[in-house]
Amino acid sequence: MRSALLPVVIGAVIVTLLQIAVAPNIALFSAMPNFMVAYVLIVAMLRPGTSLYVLAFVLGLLYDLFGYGPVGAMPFLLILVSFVVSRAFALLNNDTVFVPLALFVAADFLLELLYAAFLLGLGMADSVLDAMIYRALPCALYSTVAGLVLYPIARHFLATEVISDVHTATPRFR
Amino acid sequence: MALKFHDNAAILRGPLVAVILLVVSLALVTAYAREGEGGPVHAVQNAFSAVAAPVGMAGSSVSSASDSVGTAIEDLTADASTLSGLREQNGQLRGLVGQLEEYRQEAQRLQGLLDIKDQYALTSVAARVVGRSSDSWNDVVTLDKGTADGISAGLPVMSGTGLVGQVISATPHTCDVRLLTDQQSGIAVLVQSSRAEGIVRGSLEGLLYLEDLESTAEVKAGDVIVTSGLGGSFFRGLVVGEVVSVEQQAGDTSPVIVVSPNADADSFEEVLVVTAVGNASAADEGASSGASANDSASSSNSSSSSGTSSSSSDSSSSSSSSSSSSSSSDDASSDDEGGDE
Repeated sequence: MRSALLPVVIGAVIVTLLQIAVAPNIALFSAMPNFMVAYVLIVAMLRPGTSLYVLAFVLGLLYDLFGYGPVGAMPFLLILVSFVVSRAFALLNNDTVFVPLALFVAADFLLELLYAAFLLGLGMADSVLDAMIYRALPCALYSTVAGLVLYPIARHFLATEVISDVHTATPRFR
Repeated sequence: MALKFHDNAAILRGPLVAVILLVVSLALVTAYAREGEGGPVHAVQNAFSAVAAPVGMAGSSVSSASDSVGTAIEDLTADASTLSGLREQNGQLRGLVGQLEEYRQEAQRLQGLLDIKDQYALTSVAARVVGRSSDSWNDVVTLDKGTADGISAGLPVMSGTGLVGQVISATPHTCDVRLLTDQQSGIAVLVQSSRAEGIVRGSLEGLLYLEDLESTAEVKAGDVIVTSGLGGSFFRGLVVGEVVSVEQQAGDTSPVIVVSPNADADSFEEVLVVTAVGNASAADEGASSGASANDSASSSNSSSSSGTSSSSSDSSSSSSSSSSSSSSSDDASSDDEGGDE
């Protein structure tokens, strides 16, 4: 069990470093890729289970702590989105690239949009439209690209056969 | 029976953990929103930012190093068979030119800082930008100076072209600066020509908007915007920017006024954290000359001159602004106080 989790943990450390050290240096027009979100989505697709929620919580928390946003918002959203993505992937997966791509786009955009809603709710942003046009959409697209780059690498290291939780593999959830 | 119970527990474990973590996350957000800037969650966040700053700095050096390696590989693989001493020499010279250009630009930026320091008679702490926000929703930079150098939250930060932001938190050796262009920024300003007061706010677009002006106030493109000092967050008379457009839209009572920011986050590497302004009125009167001087400072190294103050009630201020560039290098050390660098 521990050895099965090791690649996930190593991946988490790598994406955290990427987020802190690389992401600010490859920003395009103030849009920045979110490697942490991309990684959680990948794990949600390849390794769903209880550890996924812990990973989503920890990486979300680190994202908020290393950034300047409201602490707690990103873990909350990551847990929700990873839950939805893991279910959707289990249901839709047909071993093509289209399904992960579609899920990346939808989940990234949904997450950025909900994050903007959090900021608006806490009075840290003014306009929904601006938040969507200038941040949510470009960041979601950039994160999708990052996710698609990471996906084949992660797939190589994270074995998909091992599904640790019964509830994700149970047919009635599909 | 026991097996069935075990299966049910396993099925419930995942969602149960998720729900618990969701509740913890919401509790954290609530605590973050309710506590002040000095609250425990904010303190932990500041500590993490301080830890992340050197990593971010390493990242920027890795990025420039990878650029250099890429260029070197490109040079080497371009024509390997005819690679000669000339190519090698050319590469060395290119490297040298690049290095000298880096020094020249740094000298230019530092000269700009010295000019602005002299112009406003600032007591300040010079600092380098060592990190930028790792999320795209905040325009925040990290500087390499902190409370050990006399920096505290609330102090204004200036680049060679004028005001760029405000310190929002500080650790012993780093501090975080929220830039004016951040959507959460807002400062009390006045239009220099008409003395109309308003608020300049940042936005997600990266533009500054002048708002809350009196309905009778007249503003036109080219007007210089300076801090009013109201509210006590900023010293009076620091140049914020220049009005670039005034658009009256149908149905709106007040026009949309766009102010050009002094600099964007990518364009400065060294800044001054202002701890005191020696002569606020001088700074205010010299602001118009400062705006033009800043333009020239950003475009070329010689920023002298055009600062002939229109209101010459205070001759010393006029002279200080007009002679800033010529005396800056000589007077820099005499102006420095305490933690100045």
